[in-house]
Amino acid sequence: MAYFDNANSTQVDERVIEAMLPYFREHYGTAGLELSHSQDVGAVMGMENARKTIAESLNTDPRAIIFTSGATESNNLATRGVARANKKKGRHIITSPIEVQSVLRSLARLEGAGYEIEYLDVDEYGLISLEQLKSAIKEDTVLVTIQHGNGEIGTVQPIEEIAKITKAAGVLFHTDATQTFMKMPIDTEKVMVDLITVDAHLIHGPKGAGALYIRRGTRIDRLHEGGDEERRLRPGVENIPAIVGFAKAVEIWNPNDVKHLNELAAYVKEKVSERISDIRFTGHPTNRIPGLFSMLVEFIEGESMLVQLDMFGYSVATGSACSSKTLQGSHVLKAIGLPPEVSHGSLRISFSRNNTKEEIDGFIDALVPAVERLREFSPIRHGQYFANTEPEDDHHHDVPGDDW
Amino acid sequence: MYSEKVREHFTNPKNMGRMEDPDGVGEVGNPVCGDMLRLFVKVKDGVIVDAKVETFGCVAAIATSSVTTEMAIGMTIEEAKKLTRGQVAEELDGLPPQKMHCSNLAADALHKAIEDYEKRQKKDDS
Repeated sequence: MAYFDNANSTQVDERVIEAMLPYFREHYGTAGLELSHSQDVGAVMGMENARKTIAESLNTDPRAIIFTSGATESNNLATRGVARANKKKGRHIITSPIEVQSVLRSLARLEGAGYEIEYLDVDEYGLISLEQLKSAIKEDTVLVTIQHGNGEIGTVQPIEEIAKITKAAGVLFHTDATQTFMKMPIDTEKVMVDLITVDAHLIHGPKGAGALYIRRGTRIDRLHEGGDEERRLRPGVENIPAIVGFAKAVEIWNPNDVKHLNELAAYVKEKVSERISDIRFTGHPTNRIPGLFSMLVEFIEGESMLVQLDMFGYSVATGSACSSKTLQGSHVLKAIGLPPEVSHGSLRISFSRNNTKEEIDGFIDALVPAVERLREFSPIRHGQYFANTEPEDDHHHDVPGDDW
Repeated sequence: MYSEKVREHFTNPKNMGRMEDPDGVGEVGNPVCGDMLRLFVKVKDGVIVDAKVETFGCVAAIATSSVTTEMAIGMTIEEAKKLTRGQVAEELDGLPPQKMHCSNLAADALHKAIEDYEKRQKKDDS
């Protein structure tokens, strides 16, 4: 058995847990007052040291780091905070259709408030076009928000090139680096991105801790009212134990882990190709998040694969509509042009430094019979899809009756 | 979470696959929703003597396919026509709310297969 859903969340490293414990037991004050009692001082010291560590990982000054509750909050703050602070300049924002929901839904709220949101096209790999970005920027464009790496298909966008374009145009650039943080370091002295979202829980840190990098001089407004924490950009008592754990996770990150992650992804790709027919790889073949492998298994559905693999102790992910609460399929797979019946068979296998090739061997031995079994009784075979699309067959939209 | 019964029917589904020479075939679902079912029946003297089903779909779709065919075998045509998704779901000790439509799918496929059977009968009669 093995956990291969590390793009969803990772196991917290024991060293991270150890580093956090004193901030529950001893330094349980808040970081509000530097000249306060010793519990507060201990807390403030821990948090400010953590800020330094996170800042160093992005090659910046600690004052550029605002702690948040995680990627969702950072993405909301970056998008709506920038929009609010710059509305005199304009109300045009550029993004891509494959951003995470915390970006897309935050932008949807702005759209409802009269902002113009422009979605760039993505190609079959999920890459945006730099040319299209250039021509999309207008006089009233205030923000470009494009993710660094896509958590579903692994594609990494050319943020360095994007930053050159936005810098030249005088437009702010935010990138959600949740999936790439530490794996693909961003040197903010070299890459002229203005805002970066990062999170602890995908690098063996705790849940509930993230940060937003804000380049000096960036106009941004807070979303909540409250006290003076985080330079008033993010009022509310900081989650200090989690922030300390976040910094510990960054501190113990070993750059060699990336090599291991790449090897595991290459290995699973090789093994899957050898043993299973009728599969398609998703995302860019080379510009990829280390350790994230994604594919489509044709003729079968992802949730049934996921559950069967789980019965053998393997944790993976799928973008199938059947596995979501709302029965909506992955917006990412749709945006890269995949027909729904194909995207239903998506599987994502994402590794951490704790995974091994032996685990992959065991996984393949569970996956192959699972796929064969499900294909055996599937009504879909090589390109033979049948579709009844009359409204009466639209079972996903029928409302449960009183009989149950 | 799926019930033990759902998991059991998913792991060891009954009556899965194609049927040679069926007396009736019912197809429901569409690839856009994610579930597709093709259900076959064999009928003798007004009684369903065999049923088979091919399913593309989630755990619930596969389990309901399996249990529906099991329930249908031995039923008269009239009894099978009255089989509801509620009965199918009940037989599986319930389904998660967002998966209830799957039980409808299997019951509908059965009803369509019976419709097809009756159409064929009429043709033979005329």
